[in-house]
Amino acid sequence: MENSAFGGWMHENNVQLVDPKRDALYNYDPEAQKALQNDKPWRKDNNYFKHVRISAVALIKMAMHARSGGSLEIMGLMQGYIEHETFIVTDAFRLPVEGTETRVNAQGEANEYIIEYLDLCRDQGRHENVVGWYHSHPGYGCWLSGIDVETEAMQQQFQDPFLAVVIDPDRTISGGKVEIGAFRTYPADGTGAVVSGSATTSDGFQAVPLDKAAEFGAHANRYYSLEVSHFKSTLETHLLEQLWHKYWVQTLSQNPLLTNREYGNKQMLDLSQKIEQATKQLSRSRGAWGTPKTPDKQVEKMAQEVNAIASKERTGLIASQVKAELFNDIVAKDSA
Amino acid sequence: MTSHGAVPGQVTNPLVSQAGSSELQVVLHPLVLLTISDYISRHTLRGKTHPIVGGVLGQQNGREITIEHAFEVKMEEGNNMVAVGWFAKRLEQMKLVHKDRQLDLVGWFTLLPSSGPDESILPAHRFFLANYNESAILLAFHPDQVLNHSAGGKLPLTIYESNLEVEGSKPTNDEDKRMDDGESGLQLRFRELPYSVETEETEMIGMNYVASGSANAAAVTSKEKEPARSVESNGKGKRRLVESEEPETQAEEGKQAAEDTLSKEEEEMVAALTTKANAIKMLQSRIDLMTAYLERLPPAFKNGNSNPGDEDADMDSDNTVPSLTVLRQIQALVSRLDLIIPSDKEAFDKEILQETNDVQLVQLLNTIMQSTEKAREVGKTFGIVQQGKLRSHQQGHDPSAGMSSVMDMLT
Repeated sequence: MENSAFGGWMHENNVQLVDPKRDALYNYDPEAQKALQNDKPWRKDNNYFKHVRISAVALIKMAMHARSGGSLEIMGLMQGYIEHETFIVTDAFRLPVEGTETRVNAQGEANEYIIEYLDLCRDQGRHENVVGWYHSHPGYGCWLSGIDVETEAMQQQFQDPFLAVVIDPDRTISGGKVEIGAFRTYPADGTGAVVSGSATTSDGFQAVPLDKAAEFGAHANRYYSLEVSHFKSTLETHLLEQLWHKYWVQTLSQNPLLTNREYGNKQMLDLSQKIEQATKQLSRSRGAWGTPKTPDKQVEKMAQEVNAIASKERTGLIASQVKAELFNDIVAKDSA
Repeated sequence: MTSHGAVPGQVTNPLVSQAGSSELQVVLHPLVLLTISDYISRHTLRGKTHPIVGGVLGQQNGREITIEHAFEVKMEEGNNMVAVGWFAKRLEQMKLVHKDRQLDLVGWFTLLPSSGPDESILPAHRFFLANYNESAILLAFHPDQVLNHSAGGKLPLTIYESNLEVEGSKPTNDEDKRMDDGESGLQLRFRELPYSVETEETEMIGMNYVASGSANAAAVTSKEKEPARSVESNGKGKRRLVESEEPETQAEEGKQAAEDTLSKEEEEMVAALTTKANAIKMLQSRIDLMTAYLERLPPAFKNGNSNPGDEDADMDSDNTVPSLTVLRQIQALVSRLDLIIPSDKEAFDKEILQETNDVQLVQLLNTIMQSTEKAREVGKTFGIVQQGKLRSHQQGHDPSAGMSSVMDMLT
């Protein structure tokens, strides 16, 4: 029969599975990549890259790899490409090395593996380049140690554009959300600008909670962090919806306002502290004609954060409204 | 979540066995599904034409097979066959880095219509059977089920195991002879396997995180396509910033694109609402199921006849078979409904009102914050304009020239 599984008709139908606009990141434009590589805008600006978008598959693969190492650090590489100020990570693969925190050239040991892996990829039609490396910090948070900084700086010197990603599998499990951070280093000659508090956490908030800023370690002025977000295809969204049907009962019965009360309160408290700081800064610099840039950026960031908190609250409220709609009008059997 | 057996009325596929159920139990991890869908999205968007085929890694413990990881596989040109050398190397690599769970090749996946496997996949399947795993399973992804928005909860996926079966009643045509394995009457047949989806903790957290954030994969656009600026110097030594003519149309397009794509918060809201809507649909369908069951009970039974066994089974009617256990459960459920009614309705309502008020308060604060930011921006802009005006008055120049340069700086 002509409807052979490997035949052409599958391809025609598959086109309907993707949405070219909403799935645009899955495409790969080698011409655009070459143009960017020639242009190298990151050479002129040490803070050029500001965002990272990680595909759902890459994210879960990296998280599971981190977990599989237990208390040993693991390491792997990420494939993808770059766009305006953004790293796009489309896939990640493991490297057969362990305990990578004590040596700078851990990647060197896996060179053969890397070369063969990439060869096989290109053979199979997968042309994305390596855009970074990831490793895990089991239990001690997402930041770059001295050795990590050296490794990353070296990679940025020879293999730019390159990105460093750190995952903490223990905090992922205890916190119930993926603990991940993305970083780039400044060159060793200290030409990078330093903006304290410019780090990001994985839930999209643009500033580090003040109590975590100290974690960034002794080398905090050698690197900065990028905003991490993930993406998934329309097909994946559909599949996830199907998978989540198992949990429909939970979806209806949960009360996110209640469960997230503490977390929400913490965020609002932290935010209010930052607003206080910013107002103090602004009132000090008032009257100057050339208003400095930093308070402006802070105000912008805080506006975004407030927006995020507000929308989370709104979603929680909708959940309880739905519940009310469904269940509040049940009349007792006796009174019926 | 288990898959169901062959739907009655479906066109029977000569390759699919109708024999009894197998003893194998398959446990599927969601990451495999995501890997496959990622491959499909990429493959389709990039306009590739080779078949979508991949290997599947897992553990085999007696009768249980777990499927934990998947990877793409290169095919040879045109003959539906796996690239042998390529595959050997890739499998070695996969086994090396998955030593922690000792994963091995348990099967392979490809895209198939809902009717099941056809002959074109046999060469590949035989390759895996012969060289890697005698009980290799076939994971079939059904894109047609995705497109038809099949009933909620069922994944567009079927897992088959293959067996050599003695051919019972052969159809009279001669086509089967091609598939003969050389021995008289032994044919390769595929049988559906039940599977369940399980996930371990990290995978679950990752999936949750990925599912809830609604980020779609719309392309990254530079927010301001910065128009080329050139610095001119006129005769008096004063430099002016000049913009190129181009940006007019680009700015228009950019604005259009910005309006089409939803902001991050809006996307999250959409995702949350969709999940709620799906959950409500599920609830509705379950309730409908129960009411249909109750309504269709034989009328004699409903009228209190306590000996349903005496009634002749009425084969023509559509009645459901009353089962005392089920009926008891339904009654228990209905009486439990009373539990949901809050004991103190007033206090309950008051608390709901308080919660709503809190949320609205946060919204108000948000509005204040946004307004503050906008006000700052306006103030800044105004300040710059004032500066420009002052400076141009002082230097005795035509103020409008200064203004235009200031406006250029702002855009």
